[in-house]
Amino acid sequence: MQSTVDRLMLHIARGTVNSPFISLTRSYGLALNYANFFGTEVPTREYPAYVYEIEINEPIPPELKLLDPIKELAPILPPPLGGHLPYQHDGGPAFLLGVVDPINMRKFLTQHAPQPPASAGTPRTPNLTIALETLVRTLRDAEILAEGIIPQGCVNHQFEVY
Amino acid sequence: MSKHQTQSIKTAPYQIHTISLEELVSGSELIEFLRVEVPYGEAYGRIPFARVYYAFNGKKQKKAVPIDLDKGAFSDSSFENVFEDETLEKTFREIAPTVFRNAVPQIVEAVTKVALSG
Repeated sequence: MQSTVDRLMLHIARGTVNSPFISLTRSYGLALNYANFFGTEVPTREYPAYVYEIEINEPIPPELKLLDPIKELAPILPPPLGGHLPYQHDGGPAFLLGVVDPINMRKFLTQHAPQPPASAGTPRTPNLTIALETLVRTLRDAEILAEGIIPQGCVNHQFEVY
Repeated sequence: MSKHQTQSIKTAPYQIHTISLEELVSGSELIEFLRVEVPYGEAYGRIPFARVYYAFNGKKQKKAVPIDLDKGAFSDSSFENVFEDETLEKTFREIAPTVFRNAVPQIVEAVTKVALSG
């Protein structure tokens, strides 16, 4: 499957697994959370979840490509005066809190976007693009994407988590 | 050949908030939503994940389908290799991803309601 920025955004922001990417994280804490809470069963000593620490050095193996999602996304974001929908939101300063934590901070996500007095229009919530969601989720997960095969020899540690 | 080291990690304790999903109407008569279990614990800050338990073909399943509540997305790999019986596995794979995805708004809403009520 071909790697595109659209697929990258769907992978990160929508959790689409039908993609050419493998998610990695720079954060042990993040990996621990995924292992502990994002499996089909609660891990136990007998049936633990796993966190793998991998080390990839230069030169990167030819069958592997590593992508920083922020850098991949940045070039396709519209310019400041671009005619397309900007990736920036047009909500209040707390709107981003709602994007970061849509469960506990829902009210900031659903508040109407403030408008200048003379141009009210239909009350609506702020613009939220998949690009902005991708930026936020990438940062949440300290995420790096791998495309291709991670050689077995790159695995340094296997942590059994329960 | 990998020569990695293995280490056991016992994670900090946490609690689980259980929210019933029995009122949630499923898009298939084969799948019945039972409950969603939301972990929380001081050591973790916010945990954006939860597990959705369900019954398939009238039988309660031991394994859950984990959901990322921020993304409103399930772990798609948990729809695979669920049943040893080939027919059940095939049927489940065909219908479960759509049925679960369609239920995301209501599941997130149920979790949000409980979270906001403290």
